[in-house]
Amino acid sequence: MLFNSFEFLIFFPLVCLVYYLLKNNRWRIPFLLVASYYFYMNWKPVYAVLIMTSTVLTYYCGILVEKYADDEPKKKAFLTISLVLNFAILFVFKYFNFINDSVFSLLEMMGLRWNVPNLNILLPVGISFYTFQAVGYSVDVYRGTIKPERNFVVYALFVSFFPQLVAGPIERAKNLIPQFHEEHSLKYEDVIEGLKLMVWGYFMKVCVADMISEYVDAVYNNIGHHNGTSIGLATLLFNFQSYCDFGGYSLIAIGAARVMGFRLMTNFRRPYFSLNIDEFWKRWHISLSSWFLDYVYIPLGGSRVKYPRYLFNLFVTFLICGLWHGADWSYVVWGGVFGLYVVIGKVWRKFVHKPEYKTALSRVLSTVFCFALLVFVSIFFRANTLADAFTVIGQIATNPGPLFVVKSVFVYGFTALAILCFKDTKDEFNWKCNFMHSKHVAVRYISTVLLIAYIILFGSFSGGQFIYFQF
Amino acid sequence: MKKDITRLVKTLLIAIVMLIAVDITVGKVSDRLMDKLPDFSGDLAKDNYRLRRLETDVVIIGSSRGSGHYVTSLLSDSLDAYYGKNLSIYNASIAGKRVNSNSCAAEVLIARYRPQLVIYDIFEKMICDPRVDDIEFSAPYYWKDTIVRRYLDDIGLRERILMKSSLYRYNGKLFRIASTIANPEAPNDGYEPNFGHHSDLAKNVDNDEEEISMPTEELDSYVLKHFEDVLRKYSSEKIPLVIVCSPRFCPKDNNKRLAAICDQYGVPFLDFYDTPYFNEHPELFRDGKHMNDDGAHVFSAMLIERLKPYL
Repeated sequence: MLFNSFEFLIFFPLVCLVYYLLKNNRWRIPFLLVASYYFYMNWKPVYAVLIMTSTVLTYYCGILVEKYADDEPKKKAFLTISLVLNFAILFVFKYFNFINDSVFSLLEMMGLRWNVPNLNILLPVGISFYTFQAVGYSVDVYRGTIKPERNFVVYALFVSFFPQLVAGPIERAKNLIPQFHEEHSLKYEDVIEGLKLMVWGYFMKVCVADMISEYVDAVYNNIGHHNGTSIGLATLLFNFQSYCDFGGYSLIAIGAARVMGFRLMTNFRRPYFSLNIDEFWKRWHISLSSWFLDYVYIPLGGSRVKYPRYLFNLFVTFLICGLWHGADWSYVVWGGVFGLYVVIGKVWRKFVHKPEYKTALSRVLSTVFCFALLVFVSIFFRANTLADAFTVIGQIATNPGPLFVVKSVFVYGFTALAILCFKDTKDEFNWKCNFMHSKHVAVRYISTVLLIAYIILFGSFSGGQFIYFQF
Repeated sequence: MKKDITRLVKTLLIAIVMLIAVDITVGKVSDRLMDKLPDFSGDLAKDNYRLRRLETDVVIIGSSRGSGHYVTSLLSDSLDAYYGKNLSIYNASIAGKRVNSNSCAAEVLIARYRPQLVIYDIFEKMICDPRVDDIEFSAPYYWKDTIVRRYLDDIGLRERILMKSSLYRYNGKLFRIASTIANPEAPNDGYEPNFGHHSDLAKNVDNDEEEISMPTEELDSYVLKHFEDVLRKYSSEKIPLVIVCSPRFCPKDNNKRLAAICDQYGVPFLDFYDTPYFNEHPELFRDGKHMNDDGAHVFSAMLIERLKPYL
């Protein structure tokens, strides 16, 4: 079930209504679990088996890890079982065909044959998200950061909680599980704030992302027919599309959870105002970047190692982050380029110059430079293949020409983009002009209602899936 | 908690009432703008014209193949000569419109007046296409026309609910309405010629992504139902209707099921889809699916001959 589907508009209020009508958590938690599985099974029911497998596995491994807390080898063994099996499922469904194809190509170049057939399976929606969430829980239990959850229903809900099940935010057990033990009575502020977050999320998704995607897809799916100027604009727009697509999804998820009284972690914080790439990753997909920090970068040694090794750790973390995003070499290159950006930035600041961003001009220039770097690397993210990515770079660099124009996209998409830019700028610099959060009741009502009307009147409802669902 | 519930209900009610007010206002303004649409200026105006005002003696209904394959002036001259009087004729085909929208237009026509001949361009695979966005394009007429309403309601519960909102009915259309009003075109006969030809066609390369991606060969029940409604109505009201499948370059599919359906309702079906002459002349096509202006002239001349028994 998609957040931007009609079914969700019926499903969500019904779930909220029943949730608050139920007396206490004894009934509410199992109900949310059933609702979450129903939500997920709308795609391909059989794949619910995978979530359940991951849930059962990490649940029992968590308990056994605690049971053998004083027996390090056994403790480690149970953690290893949990990680290996979870990643094995992820590997089979997400990476097997990619690795198989890569090995085939490599051996073919060497004149050898490789006859292992590809698997004819669909990528289960959200598998990377719930696998990471469950794996994070296992590691936290192993580290002793949290106690294992004994209530299976609560734990199963932690893995499958429908607002964030298929595309995050990737929650931490210590944040979410305790909330499932709290009784949430209906609070006016929570419901209204949650609904406002959802409305803004929908605006980002259907008015900006889906509208812009019509242009981006038209250009990127037909690169040979477009000149460098159009491809350049499409690449620039893709950055806003991906931000609004995923940022919008995250806001809807956070808002939906908030309506029911749950607080999920912030996932995006106006990423294009970043002064450098380091900062960008503290503002973009925060739940994922902090996951990689906690469960990949730090176990590799983090920064408490020799300087070259520290840089290596950073680079490898980004490489893996790229691979997480998709089973294709273009994603690996994408992660690699980000790794290079960060490593070069660290070296530059240590040995050449450490900018202090004292003047407004220096901040603007840094922001623009950072954005330019992001636009460049996004080519590898959006291009259909790695070869396409290099074609795009070549076209942008060498083939200017008249701009391909899609009137509706330029009118509706750019208007929505202007509204978004205004809102993000206002929030970034704390301008004192609020609309949906104004202290004046009339302004609050009017701005919220007009935003909803704008979404219905100008939003794109033919839009497809959320970009991050494929991960 | 009770206090919170009361406050929440009150807030939601106020917001809903305000949203309804905005919805009604936008609907009224948009309806007014729709009334100002010119007859000849792009697909929005053409759709408006064929659904609300068109009353020519002869009407051609179809998709982009219809608009680019039937040379209206050529047909007009021959029909005038045949009938011995001046017949008005209009090519009401619109690019991007498929069977749902075209069937709806065909039904709306005869609910308004009695044309002397209607030519409906279609090929069988179009009935397999389950997409409904072509008829959703006519959403602004939901309350204005009962036939349009039936078509939209038949899509399902979702549409039946959403169509009650003016904001939704006019979704994505305001700019097009405004720009159509601002740029009216001179009156024309609806023929929209295609120019140029596909250099790869001679090698029999005909990549139609739309059809390659079509998930099924099954006739779609919604599309078929409405197409059959058209055949039934024209047949029972004895209004001359001819189903025509204009040429395609070396097609890999055929129209056997379509022919059987037409036969069932006693509606003549003229199949030019896989015509040897056109298969031997790739220069008459802009691409595998669409003929160019030269091809349209050749085809229209051929059609007149084949039409004669049904006039």
